[in-house]
Amino acid sequence: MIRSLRKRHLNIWLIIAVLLPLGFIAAVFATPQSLAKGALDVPEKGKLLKQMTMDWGPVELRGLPDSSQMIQFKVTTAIKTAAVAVYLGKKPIDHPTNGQFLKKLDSRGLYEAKLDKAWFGMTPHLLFYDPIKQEVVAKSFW
Amino acid sequence: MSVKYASILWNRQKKRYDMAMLVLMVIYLVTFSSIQLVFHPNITVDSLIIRSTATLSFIMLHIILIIGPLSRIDERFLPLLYNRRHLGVTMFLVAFVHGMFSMNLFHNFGEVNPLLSVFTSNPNYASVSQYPFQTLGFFALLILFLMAATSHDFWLKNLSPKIWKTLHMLVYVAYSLIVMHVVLGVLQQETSPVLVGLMVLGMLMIIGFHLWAGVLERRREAFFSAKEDFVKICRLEEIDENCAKVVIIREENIAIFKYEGKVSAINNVCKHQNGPLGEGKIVDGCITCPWHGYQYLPENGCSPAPFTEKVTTYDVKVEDGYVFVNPNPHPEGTAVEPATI
Repeated sequence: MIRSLRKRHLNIWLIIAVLLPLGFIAAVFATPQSLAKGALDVPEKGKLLKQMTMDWGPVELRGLPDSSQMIQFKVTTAIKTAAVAVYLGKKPIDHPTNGQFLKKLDSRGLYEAKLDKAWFGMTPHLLFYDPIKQEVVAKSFW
Repeated sequence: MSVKYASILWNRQKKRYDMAMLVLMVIYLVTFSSIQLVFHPNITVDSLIIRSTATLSFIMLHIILIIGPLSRIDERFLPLLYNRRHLGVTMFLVAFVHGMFSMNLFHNFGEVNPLLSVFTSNPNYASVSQYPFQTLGFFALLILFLMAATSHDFWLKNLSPKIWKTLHMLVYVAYSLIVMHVVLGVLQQETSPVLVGLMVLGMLMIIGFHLWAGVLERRREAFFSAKEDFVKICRLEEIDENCAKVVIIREENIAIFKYEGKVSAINNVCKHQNGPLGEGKIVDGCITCPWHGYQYLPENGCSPAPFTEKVTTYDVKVEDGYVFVNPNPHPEGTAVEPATI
């Protein structure tokens, strides 16, 4: 390699040798830690109305003191599909176009979706849908 | 060379090289996919393609980046360097498949244009762990595309070697972007120490080999500041038959070749891509550039007909077993009587 080119190469790699490991180390240190034990043991909200258990964890319909309802999704084990979109319907639904989008579930954690008062006294029907493969993952069975 | 452009200058070695490359790629893809299917039986075809092409292109990029310094450290690796362009273009194609499938899978189901979605779906540009790492992959792929598209000698000739080489040195930027694309992407979820260890090993190898080669070459170069016309270079025995000794005297980069009982000196810089002629050998009576095989006659610095490249030449003499060279260059293509041994 000729001298000028060699110098350019050496200078570039000296810079990379400093900056790239710094970036790498910063990114590794910033990696989110796995879900802490007990993180899903949250205080109960309202009164448990309905419950069902999916592959990834429990789904609970809860009545709140202000007469509204809330659905809690506790994803305790990794969902097997890349993503799950939850749709809501007053009647059983078998396709997202028949329901209303409620929540997207992905990594482990607690997901809460509050329902407005129009749902008071009603049991919502849920559809769990994989938007990537475009297929139904599960339906509510409470 | 300079007479005409051929689409690809095929020869038997290149075909064997490309065949070996394709066979190894297929073996890797089959092995990787089989392992994935064993450990993740529910994996989709899309995910399998994304993962296999990502790892394959990343491994290929490592090989490409290591070939350069390896052949600067040990000339036995030079045959790999001759064929590196095919490896580079193939690597881009594999990376392109990865990029297209990723964009289709993660950005093609909304109302936003998929390309725009790559930049807007995740706005956490101020975060490290949540950084939209796909943007880094996009820019790396853009650089690789530019390199693949201009890899042919047509572009080398039209862009000029200096601009072409600068453009292609952007591969180092692409490599850095890809490392960060991986570490801010998959390594944020797949926190296996094995993956982190492999990444660190690859990074250490690439950076280490480049620094090693750079330092080694600096030591190899002989620097002279002599003022006299003829400068004493070395003993005749120090130059191997059909090989050269490279010296830099008063900013002149000179390759002094010994061959057939004669000694000649020409400029060390190949007209094709600034390759180091002094690291090549004399093949069939011609000095042959180690990078891409461009040839020059040692007596006059001209490429053999019908080619038209020329480099400067220098006066040489041999006295008492020592080689002397005059660093004042003759115009390109000037015939100079070789010193006889």
